[in-house]
Amino acid sequence: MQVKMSEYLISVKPRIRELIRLLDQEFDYVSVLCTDVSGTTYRVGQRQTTVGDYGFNERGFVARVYQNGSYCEYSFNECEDVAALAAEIISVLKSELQMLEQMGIEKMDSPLLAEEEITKSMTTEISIDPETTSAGEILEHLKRISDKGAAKEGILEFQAGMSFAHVSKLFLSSRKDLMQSYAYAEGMEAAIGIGNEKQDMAFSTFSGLKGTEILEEMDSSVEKVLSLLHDKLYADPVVPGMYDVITTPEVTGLIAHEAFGHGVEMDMFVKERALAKEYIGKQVASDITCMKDGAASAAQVSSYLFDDEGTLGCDTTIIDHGTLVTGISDALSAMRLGTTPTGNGKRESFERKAYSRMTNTFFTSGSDTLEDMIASIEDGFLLEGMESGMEDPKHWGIQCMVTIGREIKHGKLTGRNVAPVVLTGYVPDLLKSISMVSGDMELFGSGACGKGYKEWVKVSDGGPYLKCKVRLG
Amino acid sequence: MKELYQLLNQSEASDFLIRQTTTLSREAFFIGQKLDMGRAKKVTHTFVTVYVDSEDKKYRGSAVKEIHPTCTAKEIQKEIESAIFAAKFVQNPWYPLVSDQTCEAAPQSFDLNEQLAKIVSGMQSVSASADEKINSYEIFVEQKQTRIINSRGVDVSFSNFACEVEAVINARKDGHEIELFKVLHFADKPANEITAEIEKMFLSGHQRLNAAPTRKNEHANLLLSGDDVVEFFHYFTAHTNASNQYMGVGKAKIGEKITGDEADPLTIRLIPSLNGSTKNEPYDQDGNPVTERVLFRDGICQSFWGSTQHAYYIGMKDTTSSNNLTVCGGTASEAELRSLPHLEVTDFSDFQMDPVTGYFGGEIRLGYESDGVNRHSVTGGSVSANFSKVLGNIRFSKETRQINNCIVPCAVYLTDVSISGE
Repeated sequence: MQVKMSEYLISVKPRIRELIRLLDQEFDYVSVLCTDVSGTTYRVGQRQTTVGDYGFNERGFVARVYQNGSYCEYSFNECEDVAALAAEIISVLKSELQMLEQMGIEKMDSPLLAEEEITKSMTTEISIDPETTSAGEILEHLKRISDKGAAKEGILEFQAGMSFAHVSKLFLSSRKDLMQSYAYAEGMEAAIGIGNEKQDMAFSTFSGLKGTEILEEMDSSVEKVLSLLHDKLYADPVVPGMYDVITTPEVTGLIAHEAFGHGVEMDMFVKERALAKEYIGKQVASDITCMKDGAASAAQVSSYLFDDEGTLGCDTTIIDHGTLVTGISDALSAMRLGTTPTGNGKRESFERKAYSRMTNTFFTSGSDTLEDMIASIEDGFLLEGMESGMEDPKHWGIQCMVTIGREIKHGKLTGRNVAPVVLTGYVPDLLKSISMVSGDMELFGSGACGKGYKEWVKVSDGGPYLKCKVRLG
Repeated sequence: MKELYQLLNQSEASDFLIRQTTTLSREAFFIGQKLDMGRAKKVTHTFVTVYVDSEDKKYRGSAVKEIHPTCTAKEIQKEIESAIFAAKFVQNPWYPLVSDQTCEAAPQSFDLNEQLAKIVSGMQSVSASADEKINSYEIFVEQKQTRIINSRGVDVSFSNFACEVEAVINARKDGHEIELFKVLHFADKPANEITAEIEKMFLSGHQRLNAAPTRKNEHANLLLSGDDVVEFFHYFTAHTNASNQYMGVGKAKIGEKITGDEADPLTIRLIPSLNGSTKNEPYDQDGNPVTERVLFRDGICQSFWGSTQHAYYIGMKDTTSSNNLTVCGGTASEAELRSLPHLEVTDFSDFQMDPVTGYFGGEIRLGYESDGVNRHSVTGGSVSANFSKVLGNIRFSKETRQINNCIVPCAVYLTDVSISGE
């Protein structure tokens, strides 16, 4: 079924056009992003059930204006009296800028955005609309999953959750009229258990441009989560050192995201915070390595027509056969760098500033098989499952928390596991060590990505199995 | 709010709660010392929780929905109905709501531009030498007005004020440049203190430039002394949290000692307000007053804290929220702890602490290896440790310091920790 555009945004559009007309009289540039994201999160455990709004729900507006050589923004979520609102925006933004000017604060050089005239819209399709599925049916389905997982001995809790988001956005300026509506779903299964005198947790996630059909995918994953938890509980600590490893698509995605994705966000180029800026056109990875990012590169949770600054989404090749081709950028960073924006200007919500952010980031597939990759390792690990990661674009450091390492000796999995695993290293060393790439491709879009410790946005990442060399601890 | 209350009162909901927050902000974004963008906001969020009891009153379901200020009457009615419908399928054991709390604090008004100017002036005063620079910073000044109403006689309102500075600095040596990152949260801080905190980052920057690679050590003594000490102590608040206790993952037991016999006495208190803290709200999300509570005294668990729902489930007489926290100092001074051989880590890339597994650690951005007398800076490698192994003989410094809403020992000393490195 076709996802519908928010009726609210359609109804409010004439008022926002009027607001733009009023602000245009005071400022050299005016645009307004209008958002309406609705959705519900259901979570069922053995002890508690919760139903609430999806974490990224929002309905509001952000006006961007250009005055005295600077861009300013005002976020709001009431617009009953447009004339009064315009007066408030003018007064607040002018007084703030005036105060900073009176303090003698210098301003960054910010040319006026030159927008092309464009009118475009997009709506996507899902199979089963969660808004037409009863809350009772969803909760009952999740309860069955939770009960199945919790029945196993040693399990303290087994939670099953599902979220659904319906995203509608409108971007308006004197030259742009963009509209989009799409939907996605996320699922989660998490087991907490005890064994081997330890307490641990394992989880599995699901995501996509989908509806309630995601519940069916979750049915078959309970055993996998329980087995992973068992393996974690009985895992040994890793002996710190450098190892040959194979990364599963989930860990490959974590590396793509943390090792290089954050490092090519071009607002970091403007701030001289990313080493990658010095490496455009240079070899940064082995020649079998290719990496992409883009709202138009894949169909996942960060696939859209236009970003939060009204730039159309792209399919960007970041690394082409080992050579760094380009970064990904928001509109203002691209303008300052003299490059073309890539449709990566994203906001946590209408209340926050837009930054250069990833969309769907992944290493592309190769031609090796997983069997051949395992057979090629004398002493190493198959790294499986991602917990978290932290970027370091300035120094090209990487920290990834990996769920489990499965030992490989003499080309075979031994059945011995290590956990927890901290993967660290120097990004070019890691990327240049990629020696085999499988033909698989999988993207993961659950959870959220922060910039530093804030500005959470939806992204997906993934890729094939990679063989490389990393430091584990 | 009045109309919404009436709609809910006339609905099928057994009970309900409305929490409305209006936030005003001023924000400024800088690249170097130049203004990149100014921002401001005024937003109102209204969250409604509806509760539906089973006929025998054994179960209580609930669902939460945001009612946007732009919702039409028809939309509000639809949202309430769909929340009530969903809540009917949620079968949690019954629990009471907070009742009969009223407090109408006069809305406090802050001059947000003035507050922003004060912080900007503190940041603009940072002095940097030729091999140091401010890379970029972001300032957020926020005023919140909150009102909580429920169907059981709660009607409280209060104001809150919070500032945030996220700063990145660079230090250079022989053509090599590194960066350090810091986030300051505070309600009130003089401009000169902000300047001093940022200038202190340059010292760490130079130490990192001179750092050697961290050496591998599977049985290291670790001294934690950075801001991550706060996250370290959240292990203890997590295990006394009523929700975790109810879920069966909270390990603390009233009357039992959580630390070992050789550990320093651990005393942790929750307190409702702390000067300069951004977390001084007098009521929690249920409208329950925030009060003082001792969680641990000399390592022995005294009480739990958490939501009204989970507190009721585990049989607590009353409960409170974890707004502000104080951890008492230990038996040795920082200098005494530093006189023992150790690896001190002041900056992690991203310190992680998982209360379920007890794991904590992360990649080392800046640390110091010391034999108790001589020390040198190190970088790289990672710390990997577990509370189950370190609680037996954990030690804290006598000296404490405040980091926003927490007063914690300046240093924590742990033994037998695994360090990956060269």
